[in-house]
Order: sequence, then structure tokens, then C-alpha cells
Amino acid sequence: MATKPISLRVAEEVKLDLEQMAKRFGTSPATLGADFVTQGVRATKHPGVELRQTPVGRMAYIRGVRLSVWLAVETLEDCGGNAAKAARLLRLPELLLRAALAYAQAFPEEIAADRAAGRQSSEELERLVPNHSFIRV
Amino acid sequence: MRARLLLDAHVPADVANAVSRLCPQADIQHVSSWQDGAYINATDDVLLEACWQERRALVSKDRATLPGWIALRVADNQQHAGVLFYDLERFKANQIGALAKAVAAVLATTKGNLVNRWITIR
Repeated sequence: MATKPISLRVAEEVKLDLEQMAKRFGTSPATLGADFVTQGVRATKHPGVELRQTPVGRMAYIRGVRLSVWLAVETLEDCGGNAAKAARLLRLPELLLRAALAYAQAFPEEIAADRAAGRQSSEELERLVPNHSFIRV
Repeated sequence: MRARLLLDAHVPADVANAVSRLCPQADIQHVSSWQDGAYINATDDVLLEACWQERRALVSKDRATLPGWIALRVADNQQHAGVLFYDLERFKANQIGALAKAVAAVLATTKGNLVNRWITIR
């Protein structure tokens, strides 16, 4: 994605906090600051979605429930695109589900990566934690 | 011991009733109502700990994030109450009866002993 520079001013203590956080995350204050701005812009444009840190990186979730956007998309597809039916199954207001779908449409590559993470092979799972097993029914 | 299961947020809540009909002795809860909905927005690590406190295995199809949290618990020498994953391709969201039967079959096969086990249902 192409980037453009912007200049902004923040309070001194915010700058210090940002520098400390950037050290902890192993990145630069400029990179972390740009990431925070990006998150803020997304949160404003998509208030029904929040980004959470997970072991596989940052992931979009529907605000207020432990339901990731990619799983909401999967459910909609399982319902043949019927948003009302998918919302009933998920016990979500349909508008909130549609807000998640709007996010998925705005960031298709991100959601595709999340969906791929949800399809880890059995070998990958076994490497992650032994003692995984399958039961065929 | 009475088997205890918790259905994750993306699992249709009707699955709880369907499994209960097949396994009346099991205690099946959905995260939207379990403990008055206290965990409806919980992160995976918090939910896994809450499940462990109650020895309640989690039923989920979220193989993106949960395996990583399980790995972290294991690395920290912590136990977990068990996780039943079900295959995304095998069980569509609206196949409530099929999923309920599969979960009941797992309970029968494992006799409800799910502590520290993570199983994918296919």
C-alpha cells in the first residue's frame, strides 16, 4: 500500500509514552504512531468493529462480542448470503452483522488472511501443541 | 462426572438444546448466556481460564486464534478444560442437528474426559 507523510503535534507525555511503547514492540515511534492513526481512522469509519491482538496478529472483531469478522463472513456464506438468517444464528442485530460485512468488503485481503489462519492444517496444529486428535463422526 | 460444555459465540445457540436432548446428563451452555453473559466479549485467554475454573470444555470452530492461546497456556504449564473444534467445511453454520450429533458422539467416545485435550471433529 502506498504511504504519504503527514506531520502532527502531540503532547510531550504522549510522545514519551509512544517512544516507550515502540521500544517494547521493537519498532519505531513513527511506525507505531502511523499504526495508531490508521486504527483510529478505521475505528471511526467502522464503529461496529474493533481490532484485537491475538496470537496470530491483529484481528477484526465485532464490537461487544467475541466474534471475529471472518467467522461472521463464514456464517453468512453458510447461509447463502442471507444476512437475516445469519444474524439469527449468531444472535446478532442484523445491522451489526452488516457493519462487519462492510468492514470485510473494505479490507478483503485482511479478512482473507484471517480466514486462511482459521484453516490451519492438522500438521500445523500438531506442531503448535501436541496432543491434538481427530474424531470422525 | 457430568460433562460440561461451553458453546462459543459463533456456534448457534440452538446447538445447546439439541445436544442436551441427545445427552441429557451433560451440562451445555452458550457463551451468550453462561454466567449471565459475563464472557460474551471475553478474549480467548480469559475464556479459556474461566472454562478451566469450571472444568468446562469449549466448543468452537475458531482455529485461527484459539490454538495459539492453548499453546501459550501449555507453555505456562497451565491446564485447560479441553477444546472441541469442528471442521469449517464439514459443518456449515446452519447444520445444527449434524453438529449436535457430532458433539454428542465425542462426549460418548471420550466419556466426557476432555481436560487438556483438543480435538477436531470431522
